[in-house]
Amino acid sequence: MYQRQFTVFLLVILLSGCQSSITAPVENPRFVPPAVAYHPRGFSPGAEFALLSRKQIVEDLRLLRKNGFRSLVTYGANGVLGVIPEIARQEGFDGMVVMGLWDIFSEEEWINAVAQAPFVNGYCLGNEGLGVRYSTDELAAKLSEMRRVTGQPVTTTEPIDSYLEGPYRDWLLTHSSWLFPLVHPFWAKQLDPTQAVTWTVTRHDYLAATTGRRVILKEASFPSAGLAGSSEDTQLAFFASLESTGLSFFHFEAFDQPWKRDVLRQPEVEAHWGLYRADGTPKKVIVWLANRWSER
Amino acid sequence: MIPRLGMAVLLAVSLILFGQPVSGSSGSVAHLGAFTTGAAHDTGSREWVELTASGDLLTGRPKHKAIALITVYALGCEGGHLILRELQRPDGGRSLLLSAPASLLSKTRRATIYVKYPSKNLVLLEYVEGNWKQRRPQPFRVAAENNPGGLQSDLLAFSVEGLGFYWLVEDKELDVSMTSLLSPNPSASQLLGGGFSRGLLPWAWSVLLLVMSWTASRWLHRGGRQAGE
Repeated sequence: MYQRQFTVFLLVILLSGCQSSITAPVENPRFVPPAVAYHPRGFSPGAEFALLSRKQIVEDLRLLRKNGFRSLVTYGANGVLGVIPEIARQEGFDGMVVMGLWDIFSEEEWINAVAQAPFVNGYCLGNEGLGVRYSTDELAAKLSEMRRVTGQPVTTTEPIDSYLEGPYRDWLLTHSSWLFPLVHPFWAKQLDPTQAVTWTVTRHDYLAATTGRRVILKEASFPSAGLAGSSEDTQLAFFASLESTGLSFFHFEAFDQPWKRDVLRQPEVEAHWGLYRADGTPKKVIVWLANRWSER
Repeated sequence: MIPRLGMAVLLAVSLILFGQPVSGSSGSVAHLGAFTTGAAHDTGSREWVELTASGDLLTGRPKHKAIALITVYALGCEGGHLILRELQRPDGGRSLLLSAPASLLSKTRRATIYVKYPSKNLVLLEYVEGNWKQRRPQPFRVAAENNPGGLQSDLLAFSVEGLGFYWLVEDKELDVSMTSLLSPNPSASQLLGGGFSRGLLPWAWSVLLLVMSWTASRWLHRGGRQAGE
């Protein structure tokens, strides 16, 4: 009698365990520094189908890993971009790998992203597109569907002030598996590296404290050129100071991306966020980072 | 007759002396007596602020009218408390002191003080290793707590190196009266808003009052005894 009851009890426990592993995503993926936001060298819109090769991505990731990076976030899943997480794991990225989908309506991006589920710790759908490229309802449906299909935590990303106030604040707090804001103090006229870090920390800490949620900065940036006052020294000062705060953040970004200036006709500064120059040579911050992380 | 006269004299002396402002080592001590109420005024308001874990941070919400939130990043601490003291300075300004258990102090890597204040011209001076360091505010807008009707509130955030002694002042006041405090090595009396006279004057008054009380007591006692005889 007792044996049968125990068997039924055990069965219920096992079944409930199986169910939760499918439907409930891990809400707080483990962050392992240092981390970097990655667009391949030589990228430009459309290049993922023709110009970029798997070999190029392997070389990029090998270079980043050699200088200490362990975590990675990507931006799109079209063409060869759709296998970056798998390559990253092969090249030794043992930290947090987040796969980005730029166009949440793209069937190709969706299929590639789902296929990469074994190699990722989470997904980021969209990028600064709420109310512009997609509505809250459309994004909510995609977030839920990706969670259901992959069992992974899924989030989106917007500038950090959108998480503190404004029309999307509540939506972002309730629909994100973890909070993944963008932090660009330079655009808030914080041109001094120390003040830029203070700007970042005060917002991050308020958000984390008042929501009780895990906050990982998807992009933390400081340009090395493009405007008076910006240099490789100020970029290094910003990242060195930010690192000392203990915040979880992805360095934005791996390589300078001249296409933002040349193709999108954006301001000069947009071509100089990289830790490496467009030709792959390291800026001062990389030398510092490599020394810092090799000491550990 | 003599005891009544003595009582009247004692009362008059007390009123005259205790009615004067007396300075303490931590700033002005308000009226009515350094001995009876001086300690309370000297230290200003004092509040126990419970710190609760919120993600990687410890979070405290003081009842203090100007401070909305205090966040502390202390590796390995899952809770704790702060003591928030407010000291009123002779010039009307206020100093804040955040003290914490040694275990928390040693692990604190950063802290942020969020101030509710209509003026954006506040600066915060933080006392770090013998020097006052000036912290500029970071103003930002947040959704009001509990967000009634989508209201927003403006905050000033000060990022500080650790828990300790701070001075919250208007920027314009800083220029006039406190520039000297930003010198590399201010003295202890400067830190607490006092000088030589402010440090010793209360003690002098104390001794004087003691002597006067003793004299008056002797006089009354003798007068009473003579009246009895």
